[in-house]
Amino acid sequence: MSALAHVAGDPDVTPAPPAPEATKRGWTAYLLLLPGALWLGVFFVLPLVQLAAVSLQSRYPGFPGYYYRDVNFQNYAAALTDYAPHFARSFLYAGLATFLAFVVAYPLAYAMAFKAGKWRNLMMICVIAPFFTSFILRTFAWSQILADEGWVAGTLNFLNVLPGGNIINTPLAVVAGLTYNFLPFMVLPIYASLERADPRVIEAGGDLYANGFTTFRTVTLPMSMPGVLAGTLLTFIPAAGDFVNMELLGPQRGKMVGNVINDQFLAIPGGYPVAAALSFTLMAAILVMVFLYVRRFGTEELV
Amino acid sequence: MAGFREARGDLQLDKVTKAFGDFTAVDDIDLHVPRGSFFALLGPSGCGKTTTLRMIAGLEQPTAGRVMIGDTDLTGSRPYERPVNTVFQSYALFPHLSIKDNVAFGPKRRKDKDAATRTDEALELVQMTQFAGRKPSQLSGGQQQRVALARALVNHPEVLLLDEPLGALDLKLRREMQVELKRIQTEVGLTFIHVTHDQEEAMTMADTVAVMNKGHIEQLGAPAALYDLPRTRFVANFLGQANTGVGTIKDTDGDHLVADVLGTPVKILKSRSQVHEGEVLFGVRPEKVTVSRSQPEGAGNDVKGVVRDVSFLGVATSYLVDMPSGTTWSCYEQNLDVEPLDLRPGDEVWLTWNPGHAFGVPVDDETAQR
Repeated sequence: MSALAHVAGDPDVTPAPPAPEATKRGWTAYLLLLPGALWLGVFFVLPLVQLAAVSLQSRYPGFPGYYYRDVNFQNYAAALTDYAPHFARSFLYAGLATFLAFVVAYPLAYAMAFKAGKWRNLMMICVIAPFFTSFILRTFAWSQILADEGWVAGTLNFLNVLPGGNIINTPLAVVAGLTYNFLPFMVLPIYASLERADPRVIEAGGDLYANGFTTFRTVTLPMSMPGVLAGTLLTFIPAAGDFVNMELLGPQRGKMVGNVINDQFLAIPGGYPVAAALSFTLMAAILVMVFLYVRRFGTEELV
Repeated sequence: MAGFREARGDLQLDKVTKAFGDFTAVDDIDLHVPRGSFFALLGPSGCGKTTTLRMIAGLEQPTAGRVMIGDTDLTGSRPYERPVNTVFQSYALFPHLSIKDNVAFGPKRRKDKDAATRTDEALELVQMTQFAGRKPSQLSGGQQQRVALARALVNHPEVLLLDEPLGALDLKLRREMQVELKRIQTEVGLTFIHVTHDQEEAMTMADTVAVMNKGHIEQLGAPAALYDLPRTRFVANFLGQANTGVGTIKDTDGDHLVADVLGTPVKILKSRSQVHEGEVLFGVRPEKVTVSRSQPEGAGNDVKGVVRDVSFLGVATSYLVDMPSGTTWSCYEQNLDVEPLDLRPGDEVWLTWNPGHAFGVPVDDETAQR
């Protein structure tokens, strides 16, 4: 009884030690982290280390497909000199596709967020629907659509507006395929950031003497920049490493770096070290570009 | 800037109607707000007050009628063409711009050469100069509120619209901002139109209050006048508390109407009643009712009731009294007497009031249901 009275009377004199609870909570967090960390360790970090090791190996002369452990930066030199045009093409095509996807996606996302009304869900389904079919199948479908016998090339040829006479097996087809395949990754983040924007903030632009276009330029577009940033990264990064579109829609010569890596791994005996070096170089180049891009257009200050 | 319309003078709404499909949000209202006054549109949610405000701002266009400032007809013009600015509910600050750039937004759009100076002045007026470099997300609700006010005031609009500007603030801050808003309005001398559902807020700040209900303006006047003499049942109930009862007018006695309420005669001053025959809803404010244990002599109106609840408030004691008609009345006893009444629930009491304090409004007021 007296003990009870003491506790009740002096609530701030006897604080229960919070230590056990806190420690338990700390361990829970680590436990929850464990499956993800294990997964990443086994399927990401280990292969990456393996790939780094392979990229430094040397070939046994005269025994194609056999290597020995080495610290041979020759593979990187080869990757950078022999395949510089492939890197340039990859970034050019990925950049073009990202730009085109942005040009197509922004008005679409804008319409979905502000103008679609009851059609919004249907439009959303249309944007997502392609994911229900495999990426490769869809790209095959594009090779049919853009084929010389297809109606696109047929119509353009009929109108005499297609120099060269075909679309398939040209860089144009590759950029078109990349744009198409990664469009949803551009639309969805932009839509999400536009949809989240408070309509009253946009109205405030009009109320403060900005006409429709000025309000878009000074309010709506800056507010959707986080979405634009996410969308361009989600489009550019996979597009730069892609080889399927080039394989199925592109020309025989003038491949992208993804195709070179693919060939070095699967088709050329003894190509592993160079393929690994190419992979690392591509990764590093993309990392640097993304870093510079985010630093330039970074929007971490945004809500 | 192209399209901008200079306009000076009183704000005038001329038979303005706004319909959304089948729903008429604002139904044929006329409004005249003198230049430089602090005007409140008061009403429950859905009464059309915000729609009215948005039509003045140009964010909605009326289905019929005209919006004028002075002699300039602004109907049909875009928001950015009007000399009107809005302080939005939840502030609507630009999240990607600093406080300074938020405030400078309007002057810059109007290519004002003195944009920087005016921005600094506006920030000073709302005492936010020290926060100029921050982003809106780094400010508290009250600070964001001040910035929203500065962002609108910096443009020296002919009419400033405030859409529930204090709704998101806690009580203490709201009181402070009420005083602050009133100070700023007096200082800058602009027409303020303040939309609110908070009757206390409307009454403390505004020179004139318009009580809106279901798209109509029920009554318009100075706060004290509306409180003292409501003309509809809705206004009587929405603005402050009212003790009410229903009677039938049977007779007149000089300047007074005499209504029969379950056998008890109740007098109402003729000039204070909107109806002069048939059924009447009479009402009297709680502070005008005196409570006593025995029937007083010659007080005017008195009715016997039973105390239901007693609460001690400090400056006064509040009583809830069940009336014979089945309604419950509220009244106060100032804590002045040496010997308080010391009433208990269940005690029989007499409630008395001066007929000059009662008001009469129509009973079958279709706007009565809230």
